[in-house]
Formats: sequence, C-alpha cells, structure tokens
Amino acid sequence: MWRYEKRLQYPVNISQTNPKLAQFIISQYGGPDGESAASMRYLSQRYAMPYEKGKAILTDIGTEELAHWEIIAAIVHQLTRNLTPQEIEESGFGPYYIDHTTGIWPQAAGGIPFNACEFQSKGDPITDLFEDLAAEQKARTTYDNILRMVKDHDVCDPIRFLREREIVHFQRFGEALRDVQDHLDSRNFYAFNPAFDPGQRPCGQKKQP
Amino acid sequence: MTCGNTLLQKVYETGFSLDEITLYLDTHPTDKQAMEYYQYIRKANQDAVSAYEQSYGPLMINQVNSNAWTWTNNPWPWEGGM
Repeated sequence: MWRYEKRLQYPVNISQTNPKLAQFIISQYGGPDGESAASMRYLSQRYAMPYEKGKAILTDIGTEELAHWEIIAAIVHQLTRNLTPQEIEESGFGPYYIDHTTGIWPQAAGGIPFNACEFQSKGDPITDLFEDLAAEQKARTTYDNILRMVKDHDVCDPIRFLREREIVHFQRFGEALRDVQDHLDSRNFYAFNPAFDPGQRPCGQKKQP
Repeated sequence: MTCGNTLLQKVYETGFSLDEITLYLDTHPTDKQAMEYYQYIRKANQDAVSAYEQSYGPLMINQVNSNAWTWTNNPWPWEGGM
C-alpha cells in the first residue's frame, strides 16, 4: 500500500527552458535504464526474495525510484514550459511535440516507448540482484552522459543528486546479494534456487558432506 | 472482507474510508459534511494505525518506534496473513 507525499525527494527549480536537453533527460523517465524500469524491476522482484533484508531493500529502493521518476518528470516539465513553435522547431523537439504537446510520456531519448522488456524479474534472487547491480551502473552512466551535455546549474544539481543515489543503491544491492549468499551453501551458491526449491536440491545432486 | 486480526481489520476499514473520502473531496473540496467526515476518519485511522503498530510493528518506514530496526521483520504484506 502506498500514500503520496506532496513534495519532491530533491527540489527542482529551473528558470531557463531547454527543449533539446529535455529530450535527452526524458530517457531517464521511460528509457532502457530509466527510473520507471528501475521501480517496476525492484517492486516486481520482491515476490521471489526469500530473505527479510532483501525484501526490505527491494521495497524501499523500488519506492525511492518512484520519487526519482517524479523528479525526472519535473525536470522535463520545467525545461519545456512556455515554448514557442519556433523554439520547438529549432531545438529538434518537434517530433515529441507532435505526439505529446508538452505532456510527459515515458520514452527513451531516441523516441522508443517504455517497454517492460527493459527489465527482468527472473524469479531467482541471485540473478535478480546481479541485474539490479548492473541496472544501477547503467543508470549512473546515463546520468554521466547527461551531465556532459548540461551547462545549467539548475539542471545539473538534481541530476547530480540522482547520479549519487545510483551509487548508494549499488552499494545496498551488493550488501543484499552478500546476505542472500550467506543464506546459501558457500561451496555452491547455485545448487538450488531458494525462491523455487527452498531447502532442497534439484534431482540428482547430493548434499555435500 | 475480514482479516483474522481485529487491530489490522480496523486499519483496513478506516484506511479504505480515507481513500474514499479523499477522492470525493478532490472533486468536491467545498462539501462541509464530507470535510467533517474526513476529520473524523483521519483521527480514527491514526488511532487504528497506532494501536496496530504497538503490537505488530511499523506500517510505514518513518514509524519505527524502537531502538531495533524492525522494519525488515516478516511477514511482508504479499505473503498473506496480514
């Protein structure tokens, strides 16, 4: 169950519009390494997580990603306020504007719509956590790429905050992975899937002495 | 719908009443009777949540009311029984 808190996790106050930059940044709204995929990934993976620490971290990071999704939308919204048709045409924002005016819609920088194939929920806690670690690094790289394109401090500031959160999440997922491994057989973490065959090994494998 | 736990049942009931009245108030913000009901059910929900949390631990992450981090404790909502 969720309730909304009527504030951003980190403030966004952009005075200078920039539709070209908005088109880059919207990738973190609906792109392959964006915040929507992140939130849906972690919240969906919870059901296959057998251990308390993992359930909590997936719930809480999945929730924080929703707040990041909102920050990205606020940035894109403020970068595209009060545009003139001329600004739209000159900035290359035209194709997006034709389909969505200046509404917020989840797509990648290249226009590809958001798609659940951008994340996986594999039903295996080790596999899922490795995906999560990779996802945080991919998002960090995307923010690094965005930061090279941004000169405006009002935009840099919240983007830097989001980039740092990727690094913190990576650290926490690493700890969650260690906790999962601590519950398993250190001689073979892959002997069985604790989300599917708890306490037992697949057919033909004997318990080691 | 009922759940076995009386304290939690009260949270479900007052929580849903809150969901209903807040949606109604979003589109009828000047309805005085609705506003009175909101204040009544808001208090009832707060009381129900506090009573539940005292026995069973936090429902929200900013309500951990002990020196131990009980947020992670089983059961989680999707596992049934709550």
